Amino acid sequence: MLRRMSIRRQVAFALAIVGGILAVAIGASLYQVRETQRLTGHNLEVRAPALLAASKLLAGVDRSQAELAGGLLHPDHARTHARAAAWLEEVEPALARLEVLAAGGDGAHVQELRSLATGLRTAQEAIEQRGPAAQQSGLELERSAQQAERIRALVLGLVAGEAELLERDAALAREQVAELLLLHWLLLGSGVVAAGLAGSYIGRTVRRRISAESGELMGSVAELRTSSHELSSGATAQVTCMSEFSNTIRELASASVQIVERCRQVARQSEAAVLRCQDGGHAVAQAQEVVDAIKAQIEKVVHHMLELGSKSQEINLAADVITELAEQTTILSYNAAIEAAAAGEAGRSFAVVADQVGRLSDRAKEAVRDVRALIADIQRSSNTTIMATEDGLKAAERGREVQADAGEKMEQIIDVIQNALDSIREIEMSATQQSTAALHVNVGIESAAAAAKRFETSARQCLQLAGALTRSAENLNDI
Amino acid sequence: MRDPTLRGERLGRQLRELRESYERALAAPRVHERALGDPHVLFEVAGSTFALRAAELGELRNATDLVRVPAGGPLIAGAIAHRQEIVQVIDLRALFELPERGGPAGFVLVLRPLALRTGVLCERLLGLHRVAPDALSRLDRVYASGHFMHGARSVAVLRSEALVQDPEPG
Repeated sequence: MLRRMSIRRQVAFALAIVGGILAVAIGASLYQVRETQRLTGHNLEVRAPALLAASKLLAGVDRSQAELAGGLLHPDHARTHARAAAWLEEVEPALARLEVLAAGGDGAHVQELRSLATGLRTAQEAIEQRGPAAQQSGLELERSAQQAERIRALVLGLVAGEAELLERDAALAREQVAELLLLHWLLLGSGVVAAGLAGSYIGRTVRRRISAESGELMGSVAELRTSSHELSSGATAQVTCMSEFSNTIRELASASVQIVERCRQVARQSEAAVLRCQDGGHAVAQAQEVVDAIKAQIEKVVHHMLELGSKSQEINLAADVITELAEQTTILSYNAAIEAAAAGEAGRSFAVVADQVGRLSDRAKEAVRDVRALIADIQRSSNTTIMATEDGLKAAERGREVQADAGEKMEQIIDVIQNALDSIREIEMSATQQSTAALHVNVGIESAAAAAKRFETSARQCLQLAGALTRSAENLNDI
Repeated sequence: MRDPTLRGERLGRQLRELRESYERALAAPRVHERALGDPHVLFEVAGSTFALRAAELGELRNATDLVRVPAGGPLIAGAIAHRQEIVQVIDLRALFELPERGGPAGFVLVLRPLALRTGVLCERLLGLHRVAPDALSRLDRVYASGHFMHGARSVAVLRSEALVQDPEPG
């Protein structure tokens, strides 16, 4: 399981073990120091004040004894009372200290000491109450002196006991310090040994891992070099593409500007075309009026031509009559000639007349034929004219329809041109937006090209770094 | 289309020429009638041209006056009223066995030789012409006494007395 752990975890595990050992050692040391301090502190806090209180008690007893002795020589009850009160103030805390000391130690001495102090105070109070009764006071003084001596002896004994206890505590503390030092050395040694073992194990593991990782690192560096080379090539290609793309976008923007200008030109031309179409529509309307007038005139011509045809028919009837008359005249001239021939010489002049009448009738027939030819020509011309006028009427009607259709087409053309004009304006707006967008895109592309350039530089640096890593990996592999 | 102005001028010129011809004819000196020949009426039947002496004719009439005669035979085309007389009209086509007529019958020539009256149906009149004696070739036929050339036409001169007396196929 340990081999499967990472180097960092192995190091952390080893450090945790060493740290644990050191923590146990330090804890034990701290515990030992704390115990020693507690013991020493207890001695210092309890016995030292007791010893000080004992010394103060002894000094107070001596001073009380001296004051009592002086008071007997020079009785001054007020002063004596004050000194007794001061003595009590000094003795009472000392007694309290001693009681505390006695609670943890030799209680019999303290009880005795307290009873002696009580007796001493009682004696002192008795001295104060009796005042001038010197004799009794002397007795009391003597008794208090005895009690004071007894107190001194007890205090000295107590001090001696405490000194012995202190000596014993000091010896115990020295032993504990020695044990602590030994424990420290043992823990330090075990820590060093554990650290050495862990370091050796970790060193082997690290070397093995370094060897494996350096192999992988060299492979990765090789791949990194390949990737960096590809990245560099790609970045170079990307820079080139970006440059070409930027040029293309600039050309696109330029083309958009040209499109905008062309759209404006086309819009102006479309507006002119709309005006022209509107003029054309007016012209078509006027042409329709003209065509209507022409149609009316043609209808009049047709009417007159029909009347002319009717008159020609009447002329034909008249020609028929003339022809019949000529025929009859011819027959009459023949008959006249026949009669003249029957008359012989007498009818010679009459024969001439008959001959002339016959010729005249012949001329009349020829004239009638000419008239008929003329009428036929007129009728043909009339028919041709009528057909032409009918064609003209049809053409005029068709022209009117065509003009009406042209007018509608003109309106449709105007609508189409108007729609085209709207579309062109939308195209112009879109082209303007496209131009602006192209410029923005070009700015973005130039930024991207700069980024690609930086990326290319970074890729080359990566390539150089890969070389450096290869060397480092080789050096690491040599370790 | 011909110019009507030219037509009018031509007609006026013709009338003027006609008047001048008439005046010249009246003012012309008399010549020997025999040298000029007898006047003949030329007519056409079924494409053939015939002539009759004008002196033997009584009248020329339209065929519209012809009245069909029931059971008159193929030679009799019908009858007409001529000067308060009923005159038979013969059909030369049937008489001379001519082919189908060239057109509708237009005229009736009333013959009057020997105070007899007979009509001859014809299709078209070709005019009145004098036939000089030297231009006339004599024929000894029942119904034809001679013939002459009128332009490119050969004209047979019919015997009116034969047609009046014996209208039989010959």
